[in-house]
Amino acid sequence: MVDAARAGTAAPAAVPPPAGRPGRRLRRRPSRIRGRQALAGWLFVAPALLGLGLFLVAPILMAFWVSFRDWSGLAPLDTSTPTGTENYRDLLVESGVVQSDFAKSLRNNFYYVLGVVPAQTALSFFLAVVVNSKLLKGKTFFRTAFYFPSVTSSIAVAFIFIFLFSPSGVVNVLLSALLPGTVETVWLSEFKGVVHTVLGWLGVDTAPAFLGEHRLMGLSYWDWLSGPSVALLAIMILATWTTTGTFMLMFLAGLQNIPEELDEASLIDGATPRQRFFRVTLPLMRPTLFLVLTLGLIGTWQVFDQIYAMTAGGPQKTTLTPAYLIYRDGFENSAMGRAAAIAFILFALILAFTGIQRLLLRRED
Amino acid sequence: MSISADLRRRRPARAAAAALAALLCLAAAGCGDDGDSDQGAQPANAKLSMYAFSSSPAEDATLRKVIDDYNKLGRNTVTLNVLPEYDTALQTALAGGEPPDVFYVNDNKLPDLAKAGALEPIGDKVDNPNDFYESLRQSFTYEGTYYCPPKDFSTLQLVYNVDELAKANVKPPTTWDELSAAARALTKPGRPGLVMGPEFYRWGVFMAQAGAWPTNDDVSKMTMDTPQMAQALQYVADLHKGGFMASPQKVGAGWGGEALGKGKAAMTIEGNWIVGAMKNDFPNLKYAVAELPAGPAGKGTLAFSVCYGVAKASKNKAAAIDFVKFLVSSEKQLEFTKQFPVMPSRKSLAEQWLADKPELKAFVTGADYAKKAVFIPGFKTVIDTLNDGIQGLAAGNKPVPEVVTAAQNAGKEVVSG
Repeated sequence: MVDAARAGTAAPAAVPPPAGRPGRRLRRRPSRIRGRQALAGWLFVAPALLGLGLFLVAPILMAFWVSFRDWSGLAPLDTSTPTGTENYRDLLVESGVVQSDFAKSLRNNFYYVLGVVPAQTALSFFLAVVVNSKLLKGKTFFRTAFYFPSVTSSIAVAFIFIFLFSPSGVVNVLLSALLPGTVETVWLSEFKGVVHTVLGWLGVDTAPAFLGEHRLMGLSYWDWLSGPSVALLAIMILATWTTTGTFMLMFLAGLQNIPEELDEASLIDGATPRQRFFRVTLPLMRPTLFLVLTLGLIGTWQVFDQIYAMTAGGPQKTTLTPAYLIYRDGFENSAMGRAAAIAFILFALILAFTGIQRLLLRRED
Repeated sequence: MSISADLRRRRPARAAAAALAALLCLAAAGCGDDGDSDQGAQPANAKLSMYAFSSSPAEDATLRKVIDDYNKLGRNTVTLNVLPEYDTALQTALAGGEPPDVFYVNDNKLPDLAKAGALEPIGDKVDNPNDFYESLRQSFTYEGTYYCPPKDFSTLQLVYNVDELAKANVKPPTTWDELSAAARALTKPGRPGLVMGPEFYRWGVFMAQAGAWPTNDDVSKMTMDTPQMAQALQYVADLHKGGFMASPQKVGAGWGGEALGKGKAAMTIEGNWIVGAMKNDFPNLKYAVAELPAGPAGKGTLAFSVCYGVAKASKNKAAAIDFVKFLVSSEKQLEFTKQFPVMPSRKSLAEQWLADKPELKAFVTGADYAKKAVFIPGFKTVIDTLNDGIQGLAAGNKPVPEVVTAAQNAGKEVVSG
């Protein structure tokens, strides 16, 4: 549909001009007017362009430049020295703490994305369908209730979660009531990856030789496969809880855009509710789904505030993320150049993931 | 662009005038601390800006009062900016090339700032510079240059619950063996006797007591792989393993003071700041401060400090130095620290400061043998890695050799480069 609309507006320009001299003259005149119009157009957008250039393009170019320099960030930029690609090499190639920290941050964030994106998408879709159903009473109430976490400050929510997950917090009280014995888990200090934990139950406590020996970016395959730590899992639950409301609104808007006739037509054709959902509603929701997945991917790869407030990268670096690493290197370790390099690697990563996801969703068409 | 260039060109003239005025003022006897000068010389008044972080509302108020006193002298006018997210704000100002004239410098940030050339070395320009504790002077010395005079300082010592120790018939421990015994005696089911944060800035006291340290004295070589270091780490890790010692998080507290206040520990290892926190949050708890036990290599603790830095890029350096001299003068420093738990950085003031709080003597005594916890630029990554290992030791999932190797290797990258 979008394509058709675009073709529609483009059509007049594509119509070939009538042949002959008068035609040519006719053609030239409007083009002159258009030239003047173009100038006026540029003049009109100039302030906006200037603003974008100054506040968007220039800083990005400057950050890119900084990523090739050694700059402490504690003195003006002209005191920095060029280092070529050293910042990138330290992060990606040369083995050392810098590299293994970056690798850990990538691993953590990867598991974070893997958990949060599907969870928040599925949950928000489900909530949107519930709120959209004709039978539900008090829709406004539920809509507001579900959206509420999204309008709350993420730092405030993070602090509430710290209390919830503290050793004497609600989570432990609840679990103690449900389970035999008392639960005294210190959730936010639990560094063990869930995959490692599950393997531990199966009797695999240490790395099998083939996983323990090989390393990628300074981290053994065994460490790469750790899964998110329990502390990170708590942050993932928090993130899912806070973002679901926003995405629910998007799905809701998408659902309300589906013409009712389609649903009724399928009903007349004898489709079961299940068929109606999977064959009618879901395909029509693909654009919204794409939007939600894309926004979800971008947002989750940039997770920072919850980590800053709750764990500061700990326990044992299992909640380090690239975005938090940018802050740590730039403002605590006085390595602004490296921080800028991380930012650009993260940018490339997000771009790649979004591209892959676009390809996958398109192939299903 | 052109506007700022213009401004930059114009400023030096103004700055020079102010500096000249300040110099004249310094030369003239009438500009001293006595009140006479109020109406006296009216030099071109330099406008100074100062950045500070907030320690507590009461301390902010005292800082404001001291600055008011200075402004009343009529030499210069200081505007104070107390900032949340201090490091970020300061860094942005420094990167922008328009830093405040005077600002707080945390000791662990000093090497980075000094290396970046952000600081004017003024350490020896204040009155009686040798009166400051030598370890503090060292904290603010980078590559042989002593940059800024310390504002005040804190040391780490053993803080304990008086009633609990009395009930268990335990005396404040003076050796490692006694500490183990005390922690064991004070441990109840599900509650450790001693709580301490799992980080180098706490565990470091045991390293010092064992004669170990992450690096050699001039930070030119990593020394994590010594038997003394292994001994220190093993000692603390074993206490954790036995359940006699734990991290604050483990008992559901944010830090050692909270654990002590809530009765989730009978002892903790914290610095002077615990006094203010206990007064505010747990006014009814009876606690006392004792010196940390001596280890195999004797007594050991860490000192933390903040100094008054003067920006190299300041346009009013002479005026800024004059202001810092005022701040660290014996009289003002005593006024600034008297009502607070932090200690004056001048040795000569220790007695007076202790006069009305003899119970804090252990903190002052610590100054004699405290180590500075300041290394070289970029060392933060090593500390992060060491902390990572220490968390592993506290949780019991990492063996000592692994922690030592990780920190040693992380340090090699920074120390050699």
